[in-house]
Amino acid sequence: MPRPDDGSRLPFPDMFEEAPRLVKDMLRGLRHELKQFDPTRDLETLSRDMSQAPFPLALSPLALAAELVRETRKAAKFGSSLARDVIDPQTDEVLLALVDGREADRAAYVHARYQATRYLMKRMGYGDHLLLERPIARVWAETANTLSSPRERADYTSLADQALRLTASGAITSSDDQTLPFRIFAALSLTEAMLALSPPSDTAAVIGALDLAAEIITLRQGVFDAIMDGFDPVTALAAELKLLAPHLVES
Amino acid sequence: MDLPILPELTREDDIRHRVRELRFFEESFRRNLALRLENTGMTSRTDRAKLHAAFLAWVDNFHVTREIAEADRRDFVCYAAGRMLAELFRHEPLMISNSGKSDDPILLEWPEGSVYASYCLGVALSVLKQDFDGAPTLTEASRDRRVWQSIRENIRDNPDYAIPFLDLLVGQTPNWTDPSLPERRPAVRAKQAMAA
Repeated sequence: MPRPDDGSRLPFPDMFEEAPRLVKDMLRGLRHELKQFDPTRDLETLSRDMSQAPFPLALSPLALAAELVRETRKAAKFGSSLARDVIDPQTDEVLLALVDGREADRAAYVHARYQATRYLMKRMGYGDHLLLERPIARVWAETANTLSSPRERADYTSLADQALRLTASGAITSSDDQTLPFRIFAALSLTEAMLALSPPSDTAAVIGALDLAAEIITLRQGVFDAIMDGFDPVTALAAELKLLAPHLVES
Repeated sequence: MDLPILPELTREDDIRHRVRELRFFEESFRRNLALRLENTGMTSRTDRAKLHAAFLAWVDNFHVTREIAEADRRDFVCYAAGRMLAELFRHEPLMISNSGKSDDPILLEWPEGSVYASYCLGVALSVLKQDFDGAPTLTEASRDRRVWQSIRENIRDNPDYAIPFLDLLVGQTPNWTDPSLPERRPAVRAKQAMAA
């Protein structure tokens, strides 16, 4: 029976699914830009520059721009909260699809990993970084034939491969720290490994696993950074997940 | 030395494996702390991240050295418990106010060391009791303040001295020369010599 999530066989449903994802990612990018924009700082810089000019203008740019600052701030706050409500509704239930591994359908897989990654980023102190959903969907398509499933317990190699693919996908953009996306997606894979070794989970258990994974990756940041910079990060990460995960779950 | 956690650990199924789980480790560590400080008036603060870091360091070492367990499983239980004690000394997850009252002079003088040691001894003895038909009783050294003062000074230089220290308390022959190397332990070398 053809899998509805196999992009190569059924292109149209993918296309229909991809369009809203594209729009959401564009909105996320816009929201991120709005968050970066600080009208007060920009005007203070402008004011400082003007005061140091050899021939200062008679009219203060601050006086002229005061109303503009207020309106821009209002628009930025409105845009940010609107974007949050529309494109990133906080529904913990979607996280349960993490338990299903590759057996979740494409939309559930992508949505669960997006929300879980968003949660991990906040827990690990990177909540202000941009996270996109379409690269996660691309990784799903790349690994559509992966056999891993919860019935096979934790497939550490597939989970390590997923972390490396997500890191390379550009889902998290971070120009100043290249290992940051790897740490976050390694935490996601560690969470999935823990869930695969645990009895059937509820939402609280999934969130507990995410919290613990975020803490463990932070505690072992040096180890994970070395894995990322090493010769064979997939094998090394798989070995690390295999070493850690059984100790982090209850028998 | 009192080990109030020992009966509770011994009642657990398969304590040897349970203690390798972070959640059980943390829960039983905190339980031991509460039991040790009961009615003393002492207050404590546990740094969870440091406690987890100590556990992870122990796990790392456990995976590197577990093959040695084949040589002498009973001895390896003592080594693993000593290694756990060393990691607790190294990461120092506990802060205890020493302004309490107790009949145990070691607890009053060095509350953190006393709590760490009581936990690791509890783990070692409960595993020995479950898996090896009985646990040894603690030696006189466990009540000797000079022994505790000495180990307190020595672990400042090298926390791995916790391993032969725990051996001393449970009556195993300590290896003070290479404390962190399980393959150099007297019991392991004796078994290897017999097999050769």
